[in-house]
Amino acid sequence: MFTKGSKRAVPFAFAVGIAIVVTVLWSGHRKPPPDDGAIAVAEPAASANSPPGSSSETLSTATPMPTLPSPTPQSVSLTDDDRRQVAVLEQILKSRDDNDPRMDTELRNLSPQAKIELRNKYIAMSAESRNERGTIVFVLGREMKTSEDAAFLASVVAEPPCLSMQDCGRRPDAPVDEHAAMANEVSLVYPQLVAVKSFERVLKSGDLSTEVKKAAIEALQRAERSENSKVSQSAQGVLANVKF
Amino acid sequence: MGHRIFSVVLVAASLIITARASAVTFDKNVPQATQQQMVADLGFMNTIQGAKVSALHKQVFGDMQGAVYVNYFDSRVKRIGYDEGDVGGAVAYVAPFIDSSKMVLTSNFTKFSHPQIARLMVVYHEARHTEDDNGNWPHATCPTPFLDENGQEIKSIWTGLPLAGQDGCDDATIGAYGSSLILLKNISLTCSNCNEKVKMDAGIYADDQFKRITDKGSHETIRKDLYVH
Repeated sequence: MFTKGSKRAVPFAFAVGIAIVVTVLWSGHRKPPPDDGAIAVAEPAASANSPPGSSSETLSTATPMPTLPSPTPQSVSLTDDDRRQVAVLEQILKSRDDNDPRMDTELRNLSPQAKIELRNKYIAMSAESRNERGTIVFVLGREMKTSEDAAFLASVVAEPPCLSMQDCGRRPDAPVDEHAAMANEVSLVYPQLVAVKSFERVLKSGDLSTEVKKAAIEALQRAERSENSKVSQSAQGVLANVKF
Repeated sequence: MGHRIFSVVLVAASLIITARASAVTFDKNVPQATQQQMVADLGFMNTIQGAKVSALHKQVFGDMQGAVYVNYFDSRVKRIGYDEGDVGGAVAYVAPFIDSSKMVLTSNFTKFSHPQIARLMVVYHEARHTEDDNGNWPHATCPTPFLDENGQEIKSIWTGLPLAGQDGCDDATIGAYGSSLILLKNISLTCSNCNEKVKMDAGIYADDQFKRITDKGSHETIRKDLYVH
């Protein structure tokens, strides 16, 4: 965690530097020449948000997305490992440090019970907790293995729209500055977009059951009819670019 | 011997830059929670590493190194202030005609639940507006009609009205929207110490920003830089 104005940081940094300098001079280490060649970066395969010019078809959005019943909390019996993983997630969310490495090292191979508990956490969170909800969707999406897993993410995609960052139940009180609120449009549908990304990953995966892939396709087809254009376009992009 | 001296100078310079990363000047009215969030977010930027960057990233920022990103910010934003209002839903803004080297964070900076990289996208976007030498990179009026890739009119999600004619697009390749999109897309593609969520988030928000680059030439330049093999 970065500390503002740490008075110990500067002398410590120089002490480390002296140690490194001594090591460099002593070992005769030869630093490789800096890489100053700009490199064109490859496009990620079949992104859910393909750039303009991609070949997604224009689909009718006249029929609105059908609603799904909201998931309800389930009672669950957790092992010590389950509790540890849930605690790690809670710590990460509380810290607001999205780049915590434990997201990738600890929050994997979740048991069915741990997944139920995370779904319970999601349901208990306020709708305005967009990043927190999206983080749980990300973790669960990465662990999507059963039709039950897919059903939960499908329910996320089918949620009623969040109308404002302040209160999902109503539009902003004051006029919105379209430029100033540039991140808000995406954050309002962030859990949904993460769910779409999760379905995309499932469809690209070769080792999941036909049942799960079928559930993913159905969820995306439902998402194509979302009243939010970012969600519908995201789903369209996946369905257009992934072969199934 | 020459390369050894070069190594020493390089390490020393890196340390000086790293040590400088802790210098952020806040106005007295900035709440503690806001200061902590900003420091933490910039602290995250200070850690980012990646071996490869695109040509546009090289042009705007340089290499993918935390110290480079923090220096970019520090060289543009000299003070951080606070506005307790909603300010049209913004989390941060720069008012060049009042003080072009000051960024103002709003109450939304801590209230709104954005992914961390989204907050940083806004902050780096606003930092671009401090550049007096570049006319503060003003935005362009969105074209009429303003269409998405499916030929559908792009509308405000708040009002339902078309965004055509609104001040929320960019002509420039490396203006405020362009530079932050270049930053985030590169992070999504080549950050070597970002976790999967951060890289995903960077991609999601970058791709959305791309829609606001409405000049065909600029759009194509960015597409070739970031979206082709």
